Parts: sequence; C-alpha cells; structure tokens
Amino acid sequence: MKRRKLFEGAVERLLFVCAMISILTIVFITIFIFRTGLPLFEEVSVTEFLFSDRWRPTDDQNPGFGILAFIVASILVTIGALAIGVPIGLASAIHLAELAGERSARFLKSVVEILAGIPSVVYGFFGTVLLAPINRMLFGGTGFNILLASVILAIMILPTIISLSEVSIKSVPKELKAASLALGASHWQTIVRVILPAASSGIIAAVVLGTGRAVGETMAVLMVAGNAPMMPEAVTSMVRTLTMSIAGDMGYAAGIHRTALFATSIVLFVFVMALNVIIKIITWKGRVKV
Amino acid sequence: MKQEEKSLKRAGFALSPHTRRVKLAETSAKLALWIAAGVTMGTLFVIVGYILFRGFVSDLSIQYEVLPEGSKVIANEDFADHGLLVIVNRNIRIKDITVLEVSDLFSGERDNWGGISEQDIDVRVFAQNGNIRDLFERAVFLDATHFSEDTVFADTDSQIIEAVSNTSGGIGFISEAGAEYLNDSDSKSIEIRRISIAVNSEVLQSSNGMRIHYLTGEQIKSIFLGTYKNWSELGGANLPILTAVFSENSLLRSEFEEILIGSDIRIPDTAEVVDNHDALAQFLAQNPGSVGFAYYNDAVAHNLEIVSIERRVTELNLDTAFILEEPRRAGRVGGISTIILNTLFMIFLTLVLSAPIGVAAAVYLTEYAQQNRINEILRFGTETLAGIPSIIFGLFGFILFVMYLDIGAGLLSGTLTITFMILPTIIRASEEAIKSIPQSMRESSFALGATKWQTVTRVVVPAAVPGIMTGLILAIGRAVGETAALLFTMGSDYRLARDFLSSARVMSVHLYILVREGISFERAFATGTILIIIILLINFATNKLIGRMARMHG
Repeated sequence: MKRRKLFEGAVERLLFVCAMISILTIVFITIFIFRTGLPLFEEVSVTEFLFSDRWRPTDDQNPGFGILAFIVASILVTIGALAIGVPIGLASAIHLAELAGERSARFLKSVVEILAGIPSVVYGFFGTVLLAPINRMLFGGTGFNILLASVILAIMILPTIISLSEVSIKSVPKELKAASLALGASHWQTIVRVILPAASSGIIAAVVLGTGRAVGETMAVLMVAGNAPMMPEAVTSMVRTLTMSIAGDMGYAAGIHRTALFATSIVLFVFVMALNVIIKIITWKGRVKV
Repeated sequence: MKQEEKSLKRAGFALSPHTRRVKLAETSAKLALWIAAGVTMGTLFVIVGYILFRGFVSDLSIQYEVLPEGSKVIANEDFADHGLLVIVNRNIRIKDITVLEVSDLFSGERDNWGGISEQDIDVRVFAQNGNIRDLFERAVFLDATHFSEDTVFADTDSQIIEAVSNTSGGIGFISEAGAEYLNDSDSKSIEIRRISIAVNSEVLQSSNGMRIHYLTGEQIKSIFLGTYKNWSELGGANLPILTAVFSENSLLRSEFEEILIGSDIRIPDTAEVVDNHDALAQFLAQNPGSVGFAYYNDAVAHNLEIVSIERRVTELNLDTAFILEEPRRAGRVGGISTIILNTLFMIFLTLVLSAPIGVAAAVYLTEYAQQNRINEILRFGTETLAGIPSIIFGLFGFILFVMYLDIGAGLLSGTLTITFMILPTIIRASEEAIKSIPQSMRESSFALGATKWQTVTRVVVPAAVPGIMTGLILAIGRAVGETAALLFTMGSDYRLARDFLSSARVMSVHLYILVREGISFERAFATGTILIIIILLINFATNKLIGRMARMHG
C-alpha cells in the first residue's frame, strides 16, 4: 500500500513536470532571446534602434541598425490584413453561426480548417505565381508590395477570425436571442443589436489573435512583400517587415549584425506577448473561452 | 411566414413602409454575409485548385530556333541514297531533340542529359565511320564543330545499337536501313527537329513598339498558306509577308510540308521558289518582309536571321518519377524522394517526443491539477506558447542547439524545435478529449478499487484515444507545413539524412528554396501539390475521427 502511494505520488510529479514544459519553454525563449539580443545596446542606443530607419548592418565604416522601417512595415501590413480579413471573416462567422444550414455549415467549417492547415510557404508561393502578376498589371512595379502581403495575410488570418468568432457567437445564451425575437426584432436586428454585442469580447479576442498571427507570419510575407529595407511610402511600396528582416538575414549574418537580428526578435516577441496578455484580459473579463 | 404575407396581401393589407425597409435591410445584410462566406470558400478553391492544377499539369512555353516537330530520318540532298537515324538508350526520357542539342552532345558541349531530358545521367556518344559519318557531319554539325574526344567509333549499325543499348545515357547514329535491328534492343530512335524559319532582318526589328518576339507552329503554317498577308497581323512591323520555298521535289520541302502543312493542303504558287540555301539567303536579304525555311545549320552557315518558335509542352508534372527519384543538382532534375523521407523522419521523431509529453501534460491538467493559480499559469503558458510566431521558435532553436549546444542545424535540432512548437496543439486536443470522458466512468473505476493512475491509464486515456489522435494528426499538419522554424535549425541538405545530426531538407523548406533561388516553379508546384494533398488527407482523417468520437459519446 505504501509503495503504491509512493508510486502514485511520483507519477503525479512526473506529469506535473510535463505540464510545466510549456511554461518552461516560454521562460527559456524569453531568456535566450533577451540574452542574445540585448548586447546590441552596448553599441547602439535603444532610441537609435527603434526610431531610426537607417539599416546598414554590413557597412564597416558607418553601420546603421535602425529598424523603424521594419516596424512601420509590420504595422502597415498587419493593418491591411485586418482591414481585409476582419470584415470577411466576421461576416463568414455570422453566416456560419446564424444563417447557414447544417450541411453548408459543416462544409464551410471544413473549408476553414483546410485554410488553416495550408502551409504558409504555399500561401507565399500562391501569391508569387498568381496574385503578384495580377497586382503588377493593376498597379505596376514589381507586384510584390504591402497590398499583396496584406491580401495574403488576410487569407491566412481568416480561419483564426472565423472559428473563434463563430464559437463566441454560438456561446451567446439562447435566451437573449429568443427574447429579442419575441420583442419583435427581426433576425438581422437581433444579430446586430443583441448577439454581436454579447459576443464582442470573444470577437475582439479573435481579432487580437489574428493580429498576432499577421505580425508573426514570416514565410508568406517574405515571399510576397518585396523585401526592400526602406520606409514605405505607399501601399504599392516594397517593404521589409520585422519577421522578414530576421528570416532573410539570419542565414548569413554574423557578429553584431546577428545580434541586431536577435534584438529585432525581442521587439517582435514583446509585441506578441503583449497581444497574448491583452487576449487574456479580454477573455477573462468576458469569461469567454478561446 | 411567406404564406401569411401572401394571404395578408390578398386580403388587402399592405406592408408598412417601415416594415418594408426593415425587410430590405434584412435581405441585403444576409446577402452580404452570404457573399462573405462565398469569398472565403472561393479563396480556398482558387488556391487549392490552382496549385493542384499546375502541380499535375505542367504547361511550359519554351522557345526554340527550330520547328516544334521533326522527323526521325536525317537526310541530305548530297547523300540522296541514304538517311540516318539518331538513337538513344531507352532510359533517356525524350521523344525528340533539336539538331543543335545533337551537335552539342556529339561535340562534347553537353556532357549531361540534365538540360535535355531532366535526368542526371552522363552522356556517352557513339559514332559510326564511313559514308554515314559524312552525312552526319554535313547535316548536324556547324562548320567548326567536330566529334568530341570521348566519342567511341564503330563500323556497323549493329555495333552502335549494341553499344548504345548497353550504356546508360548512350547516344549514337545508325543508317536508315539499320532500323530493323532496333526492335528488340534497348535503344530507340528519336525525332530530330532541324528546320528553322528564316526572315528578312527588318521583320525582327521593332517599329512603333511593334515587334515579332516569337511565332507559333500554327502561325508559321498560316504564313506559308497565305492566310496572313502582313506582319502587323502577327503583332510585328507593317511589312508585307513574302514567302520563299524550296522546289517541290526537294527533301527539305517535303519534310517541311510533312511536319507542318499536311499532305492534303498545298503551299500556294505565289511563293517564291528557290533552289538552294544561297538563293534563299539572297532572296531574304533583298526583300523586306520575306520569310523562308531552312535547315538550322545551313541557316546559321548563311548568317540568316532566325525567328524563335514557341513550343508548348503540356505534360504530367507530379508523376511517380518525381516522388520516387532522388533530387539532383539542387532539385533542378530528379524528384524529391529523399526530401519526402526526411520529412517523414522529422514527423516520426517529433511525434515520438511530443506525444507522450503532450498527453501527460493534458492528463495532469485535467485529472490531477487543482483549480488554483498554478494551474491557471500552466494553462496560460500553453495558450501563450500557441501564439508565439514560428520564427521565434526558429531563433530559440538556433540559439539553443546551434549556438549553445553546438550540435549544428540538423534533424535533431529541427525536430526538437518543432516539438516545442506543436506541444500546445497536442495538449489542448488531448485535454478536450479527456474532459469529454464522462465522470461516471472514472467513478466506476474507483469503485472497483482502482488507483488514480490505473484509472487514468486503463480507463480515461484509452477512451480519449480518438480525440488524442485528432490532436496528433493536427500536430502533424503543423509540422509538415512549418518552414520558418526549420530554416535555421534543420539545415537544407537535400540528401537523405544519415544520422540525427545531419542537415536535412524537408518539403516546405524545399518549396521555399525552389522559389527563392528561382530553380523551378514547375517543381515548386509539384511540391506544393504534395503538401496540399497531405493537408487535405489530414482534414479528412480528423473529420472521420471527430465523427467517430461523436458517435462513441452519443
């Protein structure tokens, strides 16, 4: 009996260690990224790093390590993706939760799952071979620019937005809907004035999660955004985002250049973690499970 | 509802303007939602459809200096009594070849079949002495060209056939009469494309932005049949089309007609008839807008202006050879078999590492953990880990394995990196599956005297297997498509991984490299197609499992 108790206790501890791995991974990622990236600021000031757009990491005489252009590019591309993806995604989610019949809902759900499963390189490749030439025909230039990156990212965040919004719309209590309909409101009025407000925290969480996806996406953007390390001037500018800068240069960077890339990843990491905390706060307040 | 409205209307009641407005808003809003859902579905169909279509069907437009078709027999006016056939070993996957390629192969300019048949096989040339050698040199070689030093010479057709049949990558030529010996050998004769279209130099010059870039076989046929009268009809300069043809009994004319025109149609008499290449060259030089045909090497010898001719090659892109053959020369030729195997290794290793840990973590979170702060933190950890971009995982793996542990970018480093990444997927799915097991099952187990661990391992986890499987399959999907995390942790050697530390390229990384280096879009499409098929299979499998789970738990 005693041995069995000992065994049970040991098992529980072992399982606890396994459960700790996620949190340990986050701790280690944080430590490693900061430890490898922070030494940059012994040579470059934080303000220069964040607020200068002069990126000349390989210039021996007068190197520049300003990532402002990348930050701006990341923000613009993400805003573009949200501007395209959120309306379509939210509308699809409402359609899925409120209007679609059982069979078409199941079909649309499969579509969303497959969209979520398609690898990001395939999205990037698709953008390169089909959308970039169309973009080039419409707006000139190379066809690889903020606009194309936004469209590709919008497609990529659709699954996140649709499935999470759908869950939170579905979890709105039936009574609310029934009460609204009983008061004579039409179905659409019920959706806009009752269901959506009740599901808003979940929907906002979905949008924030989509934002995280868009900011962190690397391969697809790397293939379609043009990769020019300059301050964007228009939606047809070729840009380089934070993730592109890391993935593009990491292969050959050395010394302080590499350190600068790790410092860039600190910015990205902090941003994504902040979004995670925001989601946590929203879902905790609205008590909606994501 | 509709019925009521109709009967109300019939009874003389009309809808109030307000109701009508509400109804209109209702309909249009629902239409907008429907359109958005349609856009979502349409997007998927376009992406999957386009990649799969181009993945299976390659439709290449290649420009040559010779007609898209040829004939098997090479003959020449000066050697009227006999012709020759070019033969290759059966393992070479070609039906036809341009005369320039033949010349390059025999002169040693090309020593590999890569650029011709997309096979990484060395070229071995066999030539024959005697009359037939003179014919070959006259009909195939340009002035300064001669046989390469590696050429093996033989005296008879059967010797050549035997040598070519026994040599991988072998090519040789035999007399027309020797064709009968080919039937039961491992050699085959191939078509030689050697007729070029030559024009007056003004035809190719640009005028007012109009210029002939290339012609298609169909256009050339129409030119010689007189359907087109002016080059502007073909997108070129404003010049009348004047055709020149060889006389009707010449070999070149009959070959040209056989290939392009067909026996039932005749070239109109309005065409200028020339007797030899000198006369053709003179005619083309003197008449703006003139066009004629000539053997490629004669055209080059007479400094004629040659028009590029488009050939569209439509063939199966993703074939069994692509899946089964090893990649060579950076993936330009061969298949992706080793890359598929590397991907499978990675998935297998990842599952071996992550499945036990993930399931154990889920068991702890659902069965053991109290609803307290620690549990809350653990859950937050899993959720946050799922939201961290894969490039960050890639950097983490790079710092940990490549910089600190110094085991280099390879199978092990990449696999461990991916393991960290897909753990949340497995933990969450397993958690859901375990939670859905009814409490009564646990209670009956406890009532029978089982300990907690016995209950977990013999009752709860077995019942949750379909759900856990769903999580594992989803995790495979993520691992198969992952690129950013592997770019700097897994390496990019496209050969088969020999051990855990060797650099290994997986399919998604291969696709990226093919596109980035501009190696081959056709091959990128084929690779993308395999990836998409895997994703579709995964979706199918998870749906089946979820359906089974729903039935199991009523």
